[in-house]
Amino acid sequence: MTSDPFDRFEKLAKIAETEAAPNTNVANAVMQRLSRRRVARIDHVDRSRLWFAGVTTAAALVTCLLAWPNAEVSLDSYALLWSPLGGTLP
Amino acid sequence: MTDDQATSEATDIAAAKGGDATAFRRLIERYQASIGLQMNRFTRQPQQRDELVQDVFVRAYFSLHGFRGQAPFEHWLRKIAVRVGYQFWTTRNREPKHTALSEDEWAQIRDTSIEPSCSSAAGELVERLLGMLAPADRLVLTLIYLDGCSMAEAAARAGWTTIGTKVRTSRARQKLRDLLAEGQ
Repeated sequence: MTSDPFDRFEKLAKIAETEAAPNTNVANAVMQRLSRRRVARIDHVDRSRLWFAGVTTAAALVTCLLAWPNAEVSLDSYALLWSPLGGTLP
Repeated sequence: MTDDQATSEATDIAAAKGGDATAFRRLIERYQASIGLQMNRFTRQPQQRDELVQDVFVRAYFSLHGFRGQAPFEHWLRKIAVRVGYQFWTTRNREPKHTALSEDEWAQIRDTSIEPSCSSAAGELVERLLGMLAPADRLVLTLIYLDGCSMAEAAARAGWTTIGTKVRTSRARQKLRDLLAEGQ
């Protein structure tokens, strides 16, 4: 009677199962990789903040320029309101 | 694991979640040997294996917030390890196929009177044999025959259903049986 070829695999696997753990020391390498990724993440956050600041400043400038023609009308009332002489300005 | 060890592990996990690098380092030191052995099933090249072990811990660090402590930390880590290893196999499978077994290796498999010199030699032979299968078939046989997992454990580690794992195991066994019969 011929034996099942799979039996041989099972037997080899049984021997291999008892293999000892290899000498692995990765703690330093992992910590280095984590700190590199943390720095990269911070750089990314900084870049995002810079972009946000730039875009909002540009948007504010555009709004000011568009609102300029009506500025005189609206500024007059504020100037009177906040003036120390309280409306004595011409 | 004793109660003290479990407590210190839980403390380290909580601290690592809060960003304490030293606590995470202690977790690495505690589990690097068992994860090293697990990754040895995926590649036997020491440099590649160490890189895979590093990948497991880096991934674990960034997913730590998702660890709820319902299962032991090691089980959670092993699931990540299986995912990393499987990804390694699938990526490598896209590259040109590695060579088939040599005549000498087939002789060792055929001749049942020849026993491998040690467990490491047997491991190498099994790895070469399983390397001829597709990654999913290889994974299921590795988990069951080399890691000693039950069907349910293998399913949980691989993220498959138990029924799906059973079907896959039976197909993988048949494929390997055919390959072995061809070689004889």
